[in-house]
Amino acid sequence: MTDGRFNVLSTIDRQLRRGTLPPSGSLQHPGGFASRQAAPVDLVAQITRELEALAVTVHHEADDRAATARVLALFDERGASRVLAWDPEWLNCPGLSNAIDAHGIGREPCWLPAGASERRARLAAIDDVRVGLTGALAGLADTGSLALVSGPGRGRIASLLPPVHVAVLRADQIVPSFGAFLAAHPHVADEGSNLVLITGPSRTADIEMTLTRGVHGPGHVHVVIIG
Amino acid sequence: MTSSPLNFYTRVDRALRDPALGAAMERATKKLVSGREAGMAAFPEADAVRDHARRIRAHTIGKLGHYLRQFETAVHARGGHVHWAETAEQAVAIVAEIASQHGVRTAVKSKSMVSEEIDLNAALARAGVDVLETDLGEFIVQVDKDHPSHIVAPIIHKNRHDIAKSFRGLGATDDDVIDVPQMTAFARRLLRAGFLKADMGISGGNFGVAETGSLCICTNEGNGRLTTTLPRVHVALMGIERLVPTLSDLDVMLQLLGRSATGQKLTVYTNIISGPRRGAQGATGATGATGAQGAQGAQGAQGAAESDGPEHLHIVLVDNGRSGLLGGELAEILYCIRCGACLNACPVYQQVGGHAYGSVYPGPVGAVLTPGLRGLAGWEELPQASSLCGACREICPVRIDIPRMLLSLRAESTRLRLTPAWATFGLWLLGRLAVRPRAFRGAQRLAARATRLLARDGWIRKLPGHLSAWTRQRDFPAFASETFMQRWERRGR
Amino acid sequence: MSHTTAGAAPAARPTRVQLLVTCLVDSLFPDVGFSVVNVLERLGIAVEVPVGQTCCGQPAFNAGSFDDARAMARHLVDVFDRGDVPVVIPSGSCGDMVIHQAPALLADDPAYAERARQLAARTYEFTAFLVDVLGVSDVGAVGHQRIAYHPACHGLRGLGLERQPGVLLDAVAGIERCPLDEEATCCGFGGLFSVKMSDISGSLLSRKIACIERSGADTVVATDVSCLMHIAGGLHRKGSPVRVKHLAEVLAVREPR
Repeated sequence: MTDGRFNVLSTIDRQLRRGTLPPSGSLQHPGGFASRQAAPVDLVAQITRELEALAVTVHHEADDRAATARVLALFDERGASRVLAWDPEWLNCPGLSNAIDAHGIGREPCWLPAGASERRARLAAIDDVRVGLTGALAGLADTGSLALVSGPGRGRIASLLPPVHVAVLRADQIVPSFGAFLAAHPHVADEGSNLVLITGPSRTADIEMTLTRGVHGPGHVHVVIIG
Repeated sequence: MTSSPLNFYTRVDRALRDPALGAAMERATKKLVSGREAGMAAFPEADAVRDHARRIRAHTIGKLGHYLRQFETAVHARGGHVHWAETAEQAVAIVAEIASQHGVRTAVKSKSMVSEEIDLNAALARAGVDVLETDLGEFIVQVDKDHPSHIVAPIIHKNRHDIAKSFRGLGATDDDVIDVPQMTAFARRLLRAGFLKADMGISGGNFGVAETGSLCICTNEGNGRLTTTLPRVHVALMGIERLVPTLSDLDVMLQLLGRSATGQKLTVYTNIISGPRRGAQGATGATGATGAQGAQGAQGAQGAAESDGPEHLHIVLVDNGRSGLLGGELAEILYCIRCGACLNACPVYQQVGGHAYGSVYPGPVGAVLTPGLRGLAGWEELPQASSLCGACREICPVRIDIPRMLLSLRAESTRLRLTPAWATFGLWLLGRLAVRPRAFRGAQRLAARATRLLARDGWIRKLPGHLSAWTRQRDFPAFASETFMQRWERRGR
Repeated sequence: MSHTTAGAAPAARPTRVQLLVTCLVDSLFPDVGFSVVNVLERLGIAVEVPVGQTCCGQPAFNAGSFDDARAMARHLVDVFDRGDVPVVIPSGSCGDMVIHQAPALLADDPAYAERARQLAARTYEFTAFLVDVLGVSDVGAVGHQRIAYHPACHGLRGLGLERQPGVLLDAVAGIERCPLDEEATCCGFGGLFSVKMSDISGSLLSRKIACIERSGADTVVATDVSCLMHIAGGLHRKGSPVRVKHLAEVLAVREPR
């Protein structure tokens, strides 16, 4: 049986030993990119501009109570009786989960079973949930992105399956850029198996270059910024 | 890898005679180019970032063995599997074997050029696995039994009527195809059903990060996330050259990929996957930063395990000719980040579209990569189908010198005698004459007499032999009755 | 790769140059060569024309016949062997060949490598010589045409001639500049590409001509006769009244006709 690994690595090693470095190549890593851009002053304003340019609806709320009221209002507008939600401690808004329960809205956990038929059954059961609710690890101001890390109680499907995604972000979680985010979270790959940067609602322009939203992921994204 | 049994000139001829294709190409490439221009204009450090990105790619390719080993170790540490496929056949066999091991009957697939390159879907079908393409453009290509014609926008050669027709074949009603949003909604419903029951998700990979063993997948639709989250098994195919050393290096690439492709700062979903679901059965290694992991055990322990994600992650590294380019003239093509900008800027691609190239990788990058990976024989026209205008080199985010490599392939074609004999002879003759000025001048006088015989009003409507290809399209001027050098000498200077 | 010469501009203002007239100008459009001479002499530059010059080798190079191209490049280096005088070329593509490609082709030939580099270092495309070396933008030309300028690819991207031709054209009294759609899109000549891939070449030519017709110009101007020959051939085939001129011909006109 051919050993693909051995053959591929041997060819690579042999070819690189034989030839010179490729154009602009160097055995030294070029280091980080030193940006000369000054960090913006008002990150909340910047991220709001970027999010709105992406057709994301941004809600500014002064505190947890106002944010909670806003989230419940968004659910009511959509006639949502169930929500696919992250666990309470990850929602960036103490008290929000209790308020949802009190409001009579069912909170579906993001848990997916490992077994094949159970998994399919669970997915079928939550397929008609209209809204997903998450917190976020950070907001990236220059691109209008939400950084979400997966983990216990923080399922990927909450920001993916339902047609509407509501994300709660605290103002002090907003950083200038992905680079700044990585500097603040140097071990982010250890924090969860999935880091996703969400930059607006799902979209495609495959048909005649015509922009359409809500292809596979959520077509409507709401970000509630607290503080 | 081949997408057509017809020969190159036939494909080109068909493309040039198709006004609908011409209109579609013009609309799409103009939009993508102007999108990119706007995106780059609003990106103050674009030039510096491009230079830096080029250095990162060059460094990585120059130490590819080292970074691949590092990547493999890191993926293993997170509970993922890495497979090495030297050839397309091996890659297909590996995926089929994984499918068989997990009892896979249906698979959903997000966009992967490598999978097209190795012709994966057909092979999996033969192995009894139903593969559903979920990227909207690729889904339509699959329904039509067609081939993508652009590496980022697969169906830019189709218009809405083409697509409505295809959807009607799947049961769409008139309302379902009445406009683009309705057609998209129809596709979403259909594909959703596939997502919810698939046993396996197959994806590509835009970049691999060696240091953390991460895979980065950039999509706009969300199918990339669904494919790599819902099914229990995730198989990712990635060319061996798609690595960057660190997450910070990935950041540099991400600053360029979206802007260069369409003008977007980032695609909607930048999905960075570091191993399968953690705390799940079969996963080992690094745990989340929160919660008590250890004693609880993996399966069913909801407090310890991640909520969702695939139970198993398999990354298939595909060589298929890439390693052979290292250390040679074409190594630079491995820097490519598959943004598609060179296609959009290329006047030849704009005129003939992707199918004319007959390969999974069309346009300028394909004109180098296809003969590079597969050899020139059978692909010798691709490097010739260029006026060497340099628009590709100008627009490439990592400044790949594609014209240099096209010339290198042309030289190789000459050595292999794949170029037409009349041209090779003509150039040899030109060379022999050019180093003997008196013979050159004699030849000029002959040519002047001949062209003036053929010409009327100073123009020739039909040149003889192979040169008649010129006069198919335009007139040829007669040689001047006296050359510059003759007149100059006559003036006594 | 956008430097107009491989070396720095000469320290003192040159008083003489050698003209590399190019095989196409020599054989097909000798008036262009004389226009170049007129403009330079008017600016006080003496022009020598080395008699042994023939062809720079670009057609062979672009076709991948590198051995033939090398032979022609060696001959060129031998002919233009005066080490102290700038060489002027009225062509972006031949200029790119001499300045960038020939030194690379001859890099492994100990008898020619250094001389090819030195030749490249003192070679200038015509408009770059006027604007960057002589510091001239107004050569005292006059005209009356409505002119669309087509930036030839090798000059534009190979030599970085983004400004120089425009600067010179804008200073010609009496002409009107007509903006050209898709101006930086290749006309489709590409050397032997025009014959080997003549359908694609013809398709690009049609597109360029459509843009020219839309521009309302009566004259197309470029710095490369290769493009002009191809465009003129298409215009003539169509029976179009639009004329083509090399930029040097426009700059050489002092009295209105």
